[in-house]
Amino acid sequence: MTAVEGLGFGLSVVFTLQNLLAALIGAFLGTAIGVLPGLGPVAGVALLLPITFSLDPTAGLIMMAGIYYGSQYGSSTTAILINMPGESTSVMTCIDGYKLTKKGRAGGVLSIVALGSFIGGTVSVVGVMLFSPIMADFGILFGPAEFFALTAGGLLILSRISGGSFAAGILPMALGLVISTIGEEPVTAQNRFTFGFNNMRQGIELVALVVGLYGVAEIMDMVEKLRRQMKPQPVSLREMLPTREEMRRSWAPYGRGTIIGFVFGMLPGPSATLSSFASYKLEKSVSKYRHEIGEGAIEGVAGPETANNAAATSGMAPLLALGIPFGATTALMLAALMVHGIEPGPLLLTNHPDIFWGVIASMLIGNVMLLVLNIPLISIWVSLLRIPYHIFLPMILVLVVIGSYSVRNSMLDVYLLLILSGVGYILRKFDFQLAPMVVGFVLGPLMEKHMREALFMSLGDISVFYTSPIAVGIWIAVLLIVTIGLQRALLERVFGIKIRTPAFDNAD
Amino acid sequence: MTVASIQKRRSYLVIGGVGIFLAAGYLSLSLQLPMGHLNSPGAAIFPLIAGSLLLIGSISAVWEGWRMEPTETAELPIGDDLWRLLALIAALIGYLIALSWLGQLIASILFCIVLMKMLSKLSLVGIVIRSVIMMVPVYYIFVHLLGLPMPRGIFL
Repeated sequence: MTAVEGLGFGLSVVFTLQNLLAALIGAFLGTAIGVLPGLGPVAGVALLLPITFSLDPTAGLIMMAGIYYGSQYGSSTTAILINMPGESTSVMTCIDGYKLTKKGRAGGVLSIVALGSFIGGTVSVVGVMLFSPIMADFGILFGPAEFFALTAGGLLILSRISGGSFAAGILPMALGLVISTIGEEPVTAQNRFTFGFNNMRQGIELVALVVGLYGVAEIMDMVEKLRRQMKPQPVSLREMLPTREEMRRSWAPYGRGTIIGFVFGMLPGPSATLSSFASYKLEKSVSKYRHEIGEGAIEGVAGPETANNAAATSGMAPLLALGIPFGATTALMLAALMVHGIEPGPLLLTNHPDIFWGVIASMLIGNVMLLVLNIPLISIWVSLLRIPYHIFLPMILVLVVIGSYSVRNSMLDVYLLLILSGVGYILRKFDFQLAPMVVGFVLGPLMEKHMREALFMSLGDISVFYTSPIAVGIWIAVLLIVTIGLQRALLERVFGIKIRTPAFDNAD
Repeated sequence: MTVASIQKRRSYLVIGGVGIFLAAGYLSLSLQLPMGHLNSPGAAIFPLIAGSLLLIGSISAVWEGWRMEPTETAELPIGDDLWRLLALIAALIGYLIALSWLGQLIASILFCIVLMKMLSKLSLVGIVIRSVIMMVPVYYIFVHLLGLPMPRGIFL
């Protein structure tokens, strides 16, 4: 099936009532999650995970993808209107976006952002459509040893470039792996670390882990720092029209942001955040109006917002083509596939073309839906920001508890939710990274499976892990990326060469 | 906002220390699992790798804490902020305990009342009315419409 035929097939999959509704609901909820502080896309997707279990896998994944890229759209609204990024991906948008709001240009800027996100997302979908089958074809050459290298190496890279020090990434990653081993081991049904509790045999529930780490921990932080809630000025539909000048100045940042976002999305790490930082830096360096950036220039908003949406979309390529999630949200999508008994990986394209092409096509439709949702419904999103904390925080906490309980109807999961919230709060407080913990938790069982399969198939010959050219290539790439700080220090000390990577240096 | 700055190195030393303790316990439990053979690895192999990584991560946290400049600080809540945080945690613990005894509806209404009282200056009557208006639909949507078997408590 060529890419065009695949897209045609994907569109035929999406154009069913269930799948269109899944895309619409996902995009709507995602935007709301992005707008409201307290629940980020990771916790939002995790909370809705049980609902997606009741749908068929294609509709479930379409809904989750919708939430993911919808939240990128939504988070820019708070950044522009009240100088508060809904997600880390919109941190850079605050700088120029809020200044433009103070100049009375909020409506026009929101439209520029919506259009940029649409362009970035749509072009990125086309890229995913063209690249994914090539990646999947390459992935077919992979055996268990290569997949072990890819999962373990990807996890190591993620833990190193998520930000912070070596310990800030590796410790949570290892904790995620350790937690993933709790419960009944799948090969020999051996109970591990269950301490005699029957409920623990099923292991730690993903929803409790992610919602605790990201959702409740964030709410604890909000309650702790409770300050006067900023309420945005209303934005009418008439004000949404950008000026001709704003449009003219946005085309080039759209183009640059799309390319940066697409490339960053294919890499492990917080790609949407990094791409928005990189795009902002690029605009400050190359834009014709670079002297205005930081003082309220449209380029400082159009570029980063296009980039983060393009990255969120292209991040789906490694997931769909290789079964490797490079971020916490895509890790949840992988988990959803596994719950449905679908083996993620390069064979997804052959065995489940409906899921593969359906999800890709749904992103095209979803981007159109988001454009329609964002511009005419702006007053709804603004009014969401006016809900007082004392109303929505209790509501979110009750929903979080219901969501955690509902997966297995178990109070144990709710207790674990509370414990993990404490862990998440402490780790965040001291700048430890949470994404490697979630990805480690999801990838742990896959890593163990690939490792055991490789040893089993090679009759216990451990050289299988370092003799295959693909595995060696992956490990060399991992080594080069993981030791980038060391290489930089060496270059500086031995040759006096200074290399700066501002996007990485500034990423949270 | 009331915060106290503490040396970040202390937090790294404590987190690293706790991690080393956890990793040691986890590794000793892993050693009690079947090892298997290289051509058919047992249930212990992967936990041994994961535990070793946890140990490395924890030791590196201690090492980084040890070498960290004393000027690097982290902020911890004190005063009202700390009390609000502790009150939230207490309310959550109370909610989870009440959930089994009083059921989802009553426990959620009570939790909502406590939290709203904590976060707003509304009158108690106003808070109770708002809590009931918010939680009754949630109960009906999840328990009756979606059929989730939430705890019903001893009264229902």
